[in-house]
Amino acid sequence: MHWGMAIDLKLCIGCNTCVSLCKMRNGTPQGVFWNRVLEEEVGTFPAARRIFWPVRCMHCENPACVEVCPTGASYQRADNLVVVDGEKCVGCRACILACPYDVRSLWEGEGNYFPDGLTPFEEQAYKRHPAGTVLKCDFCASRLDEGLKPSCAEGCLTGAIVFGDLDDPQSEVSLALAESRVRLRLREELGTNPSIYYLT
Amino acid sequence: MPYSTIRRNEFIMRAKLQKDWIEGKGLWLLAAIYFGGVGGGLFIASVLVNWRLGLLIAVGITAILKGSAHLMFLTHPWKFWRIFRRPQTSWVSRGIYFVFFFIIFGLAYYFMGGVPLQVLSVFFAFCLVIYTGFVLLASRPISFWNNPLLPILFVSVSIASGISLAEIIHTFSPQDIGNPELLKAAGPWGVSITALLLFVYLAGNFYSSVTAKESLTYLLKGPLALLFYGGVVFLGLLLPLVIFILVHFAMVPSSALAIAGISELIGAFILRYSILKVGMSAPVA
Repeated sequence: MHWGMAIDLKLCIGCNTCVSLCKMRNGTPQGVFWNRVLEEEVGTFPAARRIFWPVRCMHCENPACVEVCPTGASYQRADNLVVVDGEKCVGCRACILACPYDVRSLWEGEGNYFPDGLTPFEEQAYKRHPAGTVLKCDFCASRLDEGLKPSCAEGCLTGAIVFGDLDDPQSEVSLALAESRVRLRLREELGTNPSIYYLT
Repeated sequence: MPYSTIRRNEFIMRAKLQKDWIEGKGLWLLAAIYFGGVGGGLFIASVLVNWRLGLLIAVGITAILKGSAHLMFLTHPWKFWRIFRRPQTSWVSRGIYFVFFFIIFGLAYYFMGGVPLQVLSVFFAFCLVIYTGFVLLASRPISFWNNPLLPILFVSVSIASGISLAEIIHTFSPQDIGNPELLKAAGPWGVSITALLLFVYLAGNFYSSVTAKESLTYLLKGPLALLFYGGVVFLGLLLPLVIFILVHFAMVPSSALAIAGISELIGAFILRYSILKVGMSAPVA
């Protein structure tokens, strides 16, 4: 089992639905984004265009964050998911700086989206995130355990995000990657071997 | 909805300056790196010039100042013992072992003496001053830090700072130093070697990668330029060298070496601040 993702850059329209869904389902605190859609402007007028790059934890096969973590809080599961054990995290932030994808953030335990304090939703959701620890995307591990897809893949309006088992040649993601398209992975030169592929 | 919580251009593909290790609580890490360097450097300098009290001061700086700065930096300081768990891969974890063994063997050497303890304590003092360079080096996305010369630069500047601190203490309160002439002679060497290594390190970054060059531009021509030239180049390198030369030719009293030492210590702090501040990770695509 090796969970992975393929993201079709031609289908992504930068609507940020995946970002909103992730925030809603995972209840990430203010300022913490487990996934983001980065915008890149390419070319010059009149041939200028904008590319949207949905970026989240790449669940690398050789995760730099796990290597530098001094406590073992960041670790890799048997299904290749890279997760953080909040109980073990001391907040040294070494993993944040070692991650080439800028997808980890430290939540100090303060801050809320609305001026009148935490909403009932935030009160419930924030309990899942220990203060003073590093937070990151876990491919919605609890949903995977229930046989569901990660929220971002499930809710993508254009079907740009395809998720599945990279070890299974018949999985949706493997079939998407088998198409004769140019595929790339971000910052491969660092040897991280990410599990998210981008189809261009 | 407080619009101040929405930041413009947050999701733009571009290089990004790191803030985690230099802003807010990150300043405690800067302090920890600095005190570790000064402590380890002072220990090595004290062994070189045969100054017994210096050994104790060096261990004290490391144990009390570096140790508490590290604890202040962590969000869960009471769980610091967990850092001992991953020395096989993590330089942060190796670092805590180096600090721990340095304190143990440093104290043992101070109280018991002997060549084996001297070798062990100097070895761990060396590890103490070099490991912070490796901690930064391990952050591969930050090209400016991912340079093999960085740990060597940290060793050099740490030993120079150790010599400076010894000079300052010796000036204000003359110490029973076994070889004061060596201490006097070591000062210019420490600063000169640091200057040379810094130049090679910066030149190396110029030819390294686009992001490293961008960090370099930020340091030499950007918002940090004044601090770098004034703090690192002038206070940390030029002023001490000029004073060393003037003292050598007896144009100023040797007590001026204390001014050189203070100046060098300030410069060494700003050098580490600058290196941490300009750490920039490359765009993800």
